[in-house]
Amino acid sequence: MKKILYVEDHRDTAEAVKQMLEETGYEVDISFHGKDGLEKAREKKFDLILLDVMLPDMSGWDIFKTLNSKKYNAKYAFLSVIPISTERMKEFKKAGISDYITKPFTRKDLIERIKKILK
Amino acid sequence: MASLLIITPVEKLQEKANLIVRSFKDIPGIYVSLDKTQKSIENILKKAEINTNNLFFIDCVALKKTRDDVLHIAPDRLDLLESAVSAFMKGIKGKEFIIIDELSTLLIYNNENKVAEFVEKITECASQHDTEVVALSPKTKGEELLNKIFNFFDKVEGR
Repeated sequence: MKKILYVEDHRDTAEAVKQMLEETGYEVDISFHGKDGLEKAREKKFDLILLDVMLPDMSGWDIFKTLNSKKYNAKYAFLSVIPISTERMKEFKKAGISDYITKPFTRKDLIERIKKILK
Repeated sequence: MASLLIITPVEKLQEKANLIVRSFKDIPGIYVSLDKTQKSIENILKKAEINTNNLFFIDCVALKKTRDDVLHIAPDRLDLLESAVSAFMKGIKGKEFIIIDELSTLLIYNNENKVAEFVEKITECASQHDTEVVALSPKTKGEELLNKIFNFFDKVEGR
């Protein structure tokens, strides 16, 4: 079973996404803070790390940079309300971000994109 | 007015940016490009028949140097961005303007408090140097994106 870590400070969103992904057959852990997310990633091996971009203690980008610098072998995707251009997405891909999913998203869209990342 | 934050639907952002640059006519300006490369922005402006001769670009998307007159700064280096923008304000005599397109992109790379601090420093410096700061941000659904940043602008349009 593929393991996903979702770092999101909005508890309702985190719980809703966790439920959606678990129903699809993934094992999902959630963190409400960046530091807690980093701690969980250190303790357990995840296949995908889903990151909200704006967290109270650090940005999703900071978490990605930290884990990536430690060669943490996982896929990464951002979930955010901030729309980005295709040029920015290209830069994300170059950096190692598999996808950038803009909120609000539908269940179908989220699951399809997660499946694609983890294929 | 020294600083203005414009919040507009994402599809209207470029149109707004064009209007702003056009309105400053021959006044020197700095275009901080956070979501499109300098090359793209310059092409868009030229296509809209906007004079870009007095514009200096800071490209925060493409980080590879292609031209001597374009500065490339990673969006998570707010310290460098602030230094560059401040140097521009201090270095040019007379009126000038700064356009930050799109301010919200900084929130992807940096903690909210750091972005607020950056905006505060820029707007403060602008008020001392006859510089107008115009920042653009897309309107988003659900969350209040720029809560901490609103206060540093003299005017917020589209809130």
